[in-house]
Amino acid sequence: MKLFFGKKEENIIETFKEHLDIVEFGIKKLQDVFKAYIEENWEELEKVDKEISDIERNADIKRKQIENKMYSKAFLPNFRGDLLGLIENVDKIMNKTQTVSEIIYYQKPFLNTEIKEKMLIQTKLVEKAFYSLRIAIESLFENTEKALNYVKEVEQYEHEEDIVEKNLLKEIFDSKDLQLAEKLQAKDLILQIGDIADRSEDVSDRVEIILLKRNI
Amino acid sequence: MFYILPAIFLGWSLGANDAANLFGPPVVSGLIKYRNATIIAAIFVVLGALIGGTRGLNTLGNLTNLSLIHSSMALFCAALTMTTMTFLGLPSSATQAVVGAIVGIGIFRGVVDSSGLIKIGISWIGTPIGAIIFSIILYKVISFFFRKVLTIQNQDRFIKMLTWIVGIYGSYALGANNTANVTGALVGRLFNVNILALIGGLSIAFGILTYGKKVMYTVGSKIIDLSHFSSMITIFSASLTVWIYSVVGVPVSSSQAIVGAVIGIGIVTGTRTFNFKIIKRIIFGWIGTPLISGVTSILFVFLTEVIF
Repeated sequence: MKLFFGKKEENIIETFKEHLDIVEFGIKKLQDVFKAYIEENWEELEKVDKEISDIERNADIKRKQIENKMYSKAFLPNFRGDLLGLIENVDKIMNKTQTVSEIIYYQKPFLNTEIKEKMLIQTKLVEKAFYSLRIAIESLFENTEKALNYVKEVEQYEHEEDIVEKNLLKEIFDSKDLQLAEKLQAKDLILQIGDIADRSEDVSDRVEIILLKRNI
Repeated sequence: MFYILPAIFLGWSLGANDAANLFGPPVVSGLIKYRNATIIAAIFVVLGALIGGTRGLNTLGNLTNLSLIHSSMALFCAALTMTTMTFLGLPSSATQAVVGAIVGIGIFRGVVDSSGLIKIGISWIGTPIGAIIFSIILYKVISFFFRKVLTIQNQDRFIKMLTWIVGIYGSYALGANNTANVTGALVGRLFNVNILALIGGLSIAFGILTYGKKVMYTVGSKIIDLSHFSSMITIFSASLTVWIYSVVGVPVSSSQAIVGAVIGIGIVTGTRTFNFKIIKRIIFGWIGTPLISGVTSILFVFLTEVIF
């Protein structure tokens, strides 16, 4: 069947996978941001932040490429909107990743190593949530039956991340060593990291809706 | 030659509206390009008329013993009724208008074959009911196979291919069934059946090709918003119904078949796709349209006889 049609679709799927690769690479880079932050290696932090900024720009370029390809009328009309929604919202995950990197690079919030390491754990859960999301999206084009399991996985990791986030916030506001301004600065950073996982969950909801629409 | 003109006019107007019933939803939703849809529909309508149109032509031709001039007048009045009713926003169907006009003049001026009339009446009632049943069955059967397709790109291909296939089949069925409306009244009075089938098919095809995008978009968007899958099943069920009646030899309304098919989709998916207004429209199609067309044609014949 591919001989007759489907090249446009396959091409878009490939480009979308490349976009997912880029975003995943960007999220993984957050680990390096935190390592430099924990070690207070500001030179390294500047370098990694710059890399994340480049990755974000590459993701934007890739997203625009896909959107242009969508004008060639690949897929059925009512799926095109769903697919564009997926891509745009995956791109927003990368935007948020860049925001987190910039907060750390520009503000270098004054926190003890223990809290910074807990933030690193939070970031690892964010990464896991995105990885499951990525597989869920790929399953749409490989085996739709598997996609729902990965959607559930995203929800699970987002939930775990939420618990870490709340505990961290409590710890920070209970702390006697930090000033209110420092607490608020830390709170913002923790919430922004949490937003990356929230955005992954939002996209996984979209994947679920796509599956439900096709549940004939 | 002059007597064929009302038939061509009727076919032209029927073509645009009925092709819109078949291809309207996939064209409006962007699944199929308008130009491609109209060209393919036009070709297969003509083929349908030539290969499967003769039975219906004979049914309408044998319905009355009217003269050529009266048959031609009946077609003119049917076209007039249709145009006026469309203008007034009333539901109209060529099938029902033509039968109403022929039977009207038949009662006034000649003999009406009551057995043929009963066959037509039963078929009309059977059209939406048949389409409801077919859409329930087809939805269940085809969705079973659809569920075996496990990637989105292949699901989309599956729907697109089937939409094309059922659209082509539907065009064939439309040609086979509805040609009788266009030239059936002239059977035994002008040319032979095959030439009348060709003229009927060509005038419907002409309507499809020339009536413009707007009709397809208007008709297509009036049909309830369905998913691509459901809209494909709707066309399939309506086409199957119309095709079966072309084999039986009774022209039926493709609009009523579509409405029935949409109701069937509602039943099988558990969504409400019909209301009292739709039921009223269907019943009006069975009784109101032929009655108005019949009375119009009787008045027309009466007036021309008084004047000339």
